[in-house]
Amino acid sequence: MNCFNARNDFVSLWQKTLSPSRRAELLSHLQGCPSCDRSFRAFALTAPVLYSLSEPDSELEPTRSGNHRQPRSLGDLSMTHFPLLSSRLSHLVSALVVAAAAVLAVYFAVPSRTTFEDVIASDNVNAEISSYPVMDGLLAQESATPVIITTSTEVTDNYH
Amino acid sequence: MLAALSSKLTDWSEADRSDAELIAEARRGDTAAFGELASRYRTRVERFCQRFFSDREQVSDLVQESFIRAFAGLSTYRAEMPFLGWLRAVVANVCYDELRRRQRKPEELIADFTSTEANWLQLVEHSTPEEIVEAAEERRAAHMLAHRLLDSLRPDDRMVMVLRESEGLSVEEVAQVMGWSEAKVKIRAFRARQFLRKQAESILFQQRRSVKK
Repeated sequence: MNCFNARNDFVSLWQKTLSPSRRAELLSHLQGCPSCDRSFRAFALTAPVLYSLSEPDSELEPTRSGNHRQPRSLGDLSMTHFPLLSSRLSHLVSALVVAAAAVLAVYFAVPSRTTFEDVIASDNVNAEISSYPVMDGLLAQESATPVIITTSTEVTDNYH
Repeated sequence: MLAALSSKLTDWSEADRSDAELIAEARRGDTAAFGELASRYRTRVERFCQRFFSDREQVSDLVQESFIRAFAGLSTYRAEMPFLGWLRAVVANVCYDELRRRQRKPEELIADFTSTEANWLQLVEHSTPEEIVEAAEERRAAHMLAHRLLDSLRPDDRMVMVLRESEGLSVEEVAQVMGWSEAKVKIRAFRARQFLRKQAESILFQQRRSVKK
């Protein structure tokens, strides 16, 4: 085994996935090669975080508040084990529902309106414009008669 | 009898729902479906966060933050890609934000060791490779010292180390996850490896000197 292959096998040695023969070969190389031996020892300082497949549970690190709960098994998990997530998701969904309801309410509250351009484009010069809710409300207080806006088809040219 | 059978069948079908079905339901606002999805991937996400942070409560917060971001951004998920890959990108960005937020002074030499860390260093220095591998598994000090060493990396370098070394992603995949160029990923990876090797060797050298004294 050469040094390149030996160093490539460090991770497998750490994760115990090397075949027995390959493992023996690597260990024998490390015994006889001071450079690779030094590299392995340097590798061992970061390997517990970078290459370990699990965290050590025997000595729990104290948490910031000291009220850490033991992690549960995967099959035991449900939404109840994500209390913060559950409540924040509920708030997020509620906010989305309220926003959607508000958009729909505004959409249906404003009726379709006839614009002056529509009136002029049509032949009906005595068109009734009835889609201005604020104006309708004000007029309804003073008079029950409908509002008629008449447009003239005669165009007077004031520039000549 | 029929009711019991029907409920068993419902349980079975619910337990066997695919990720795609759960994602579709979650997109319609079904938080229970998303909860099931989160339960499925919780261990993987937690393990990923533990590569960056040693405090379990902080890891727990980041896991929750990751799932909240994932839920809020579900509309950006495309069905043709694996959900785990998409989720990993979300979690990576959560961890990256946290690393940058902490604003640690990078690249400081670790000088002071706790007694358990010093014991671990002595073991690394004087034991056989086999003994080191066996001992590292249950030693919290080994993990703590490794975290301190990795903490001395800049956030960009740390991201590359974890994604390349721990997650086994290719340069192209890391570039996609982080939104960086492949050249940047290669440079950061080279720099991070070189820096960590120097740091580790200088720690072991320090340890040898202190033992001689």
